[in-house]
Amino acid sequence: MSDSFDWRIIDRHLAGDATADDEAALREWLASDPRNAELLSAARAASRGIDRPHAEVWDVDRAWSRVTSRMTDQSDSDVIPLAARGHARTTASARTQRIVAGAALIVAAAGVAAVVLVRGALPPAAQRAPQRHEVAAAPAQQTRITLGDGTRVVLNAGSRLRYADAFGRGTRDVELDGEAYFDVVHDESRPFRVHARGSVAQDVGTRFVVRAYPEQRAVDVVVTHGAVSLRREGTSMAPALLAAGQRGRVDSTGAVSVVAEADLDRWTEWTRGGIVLDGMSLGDAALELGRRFGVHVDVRGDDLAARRVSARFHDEPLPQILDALALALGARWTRDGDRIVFVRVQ
Amino acid sequence: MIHPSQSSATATDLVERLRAGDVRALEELFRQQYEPLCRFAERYLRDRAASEDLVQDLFAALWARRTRLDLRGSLRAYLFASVRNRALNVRKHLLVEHDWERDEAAPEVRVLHPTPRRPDELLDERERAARVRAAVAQLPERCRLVMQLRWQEQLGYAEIASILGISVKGVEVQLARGLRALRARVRRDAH
Repeated sequence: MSDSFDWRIIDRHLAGDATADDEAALREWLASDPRNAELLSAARAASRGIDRPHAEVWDVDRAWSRVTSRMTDQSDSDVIPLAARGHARTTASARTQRIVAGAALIVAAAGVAAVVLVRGALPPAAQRAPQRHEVAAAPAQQTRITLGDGTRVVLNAGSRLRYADAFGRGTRDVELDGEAYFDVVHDESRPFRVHARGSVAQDVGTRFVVRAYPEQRAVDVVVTHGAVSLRREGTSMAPALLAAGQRGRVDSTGAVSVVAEADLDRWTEWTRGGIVLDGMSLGDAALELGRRFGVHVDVRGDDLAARRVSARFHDEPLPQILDALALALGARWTRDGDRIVFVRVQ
Repeated sequence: MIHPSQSSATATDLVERLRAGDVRALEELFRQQYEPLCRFAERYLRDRAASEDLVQDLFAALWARRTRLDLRGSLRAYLFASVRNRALNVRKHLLVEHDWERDEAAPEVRVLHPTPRRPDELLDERERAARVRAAVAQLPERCRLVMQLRWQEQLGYAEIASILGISVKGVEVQLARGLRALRARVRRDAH
């Protein structure tokens, strides 16, 4: 199809219906002429709807509360008041609230822009506000929210953000499982705090990513704008200073390290739909892909699972990503519904 | 392939729960479909706030008549079609869906953003992006609507046909001609 151009293959590819043969033909077609890649991206752009200069932000929480306020069907006694929602999801929340021992970091804010505090355990349930809202990004989903104070949050796949009903009145506290990008609206009188897996991030007007998925041994905080100061809680160590462009990492022993992050894009690429595998093990990459595509990826064999992979993907469908990984690792993959298995080629 | 919100078992289940008065089913559906439906409404209304308003109203209305819901086809197709009907009621005219015929009668609308030729910078990323935008801008609106429903929302041909009130063949024509037009544009400008 180098020049004859079968539009149906492109159609199935973009609609997520492509067969393995389709994908092979498509790769060949893409390789045959650089302008074909441009055509593919034009087709994607055309399908994206209104062209926006900035990222889209949809406040689904606020929208939903508007819907409930418009539900006029008075005879229904089964309309659950919005405030009860937090309770409805406690089972799911409890499951994802894993405690990571040892991680303890504080970003204290004397003249700096953000405070992150990672504690060894979650606060006791009794101390938590009874009425919680929860926003989740399911696997294969990203959720963009604007909180009541204007702070923008992008939640990555398989992550949850919770906040009290009273958010914004006096304090601004949110609780994060997983990964999120924060663009915080500065308000000196009301500190903004992110609790990440038993952590607290306090912010005074900065942008940063907190990555704290359960499988990670470390918690990473990457600052793209502003500044952050880090220290381990319960120690008298001087805080480590994180400037914009730096990454702070708290490892499983609670030790804090700060490095210059040469590649900030790598940490925010997911907010633009990209997937970055940066030398992580195939086992960790499998978890990442599983979250991003809503599938379960199994890697057979410890030696294969420990192999390191580095790759960046953008817009590629899952089969293409799996093919690329399999080729690089001398493995093959099979799929049964939502379950994908990687095995080494004998 | 991976369309979590499209699993028909889940969709049937949602409709059943909705009929039974389970507000959480409505919320689930709302959270899944709010953003895509707003994006779609915005194509017609060109106004973000009005689009959100429309979709919120639609869900409130869906709840009010949940017991009378008669859904034989796809739930998503029903929602998108409802958004379109409401949007067209707001707009009161079909200008927004202007089609190939109309554009062919007035070919100048297809050259909205002529790209200046600068061969030395052809690989410049910004220029490539501008070229892509120009190629997209030349497409008739209905073609872009079909592309959005098909490639962004990953709906089937029959679903798209029922949403836009055109034939399945018409859906194919929009996609095929659209891709051909993009290809011609990209090839011409890249030289």
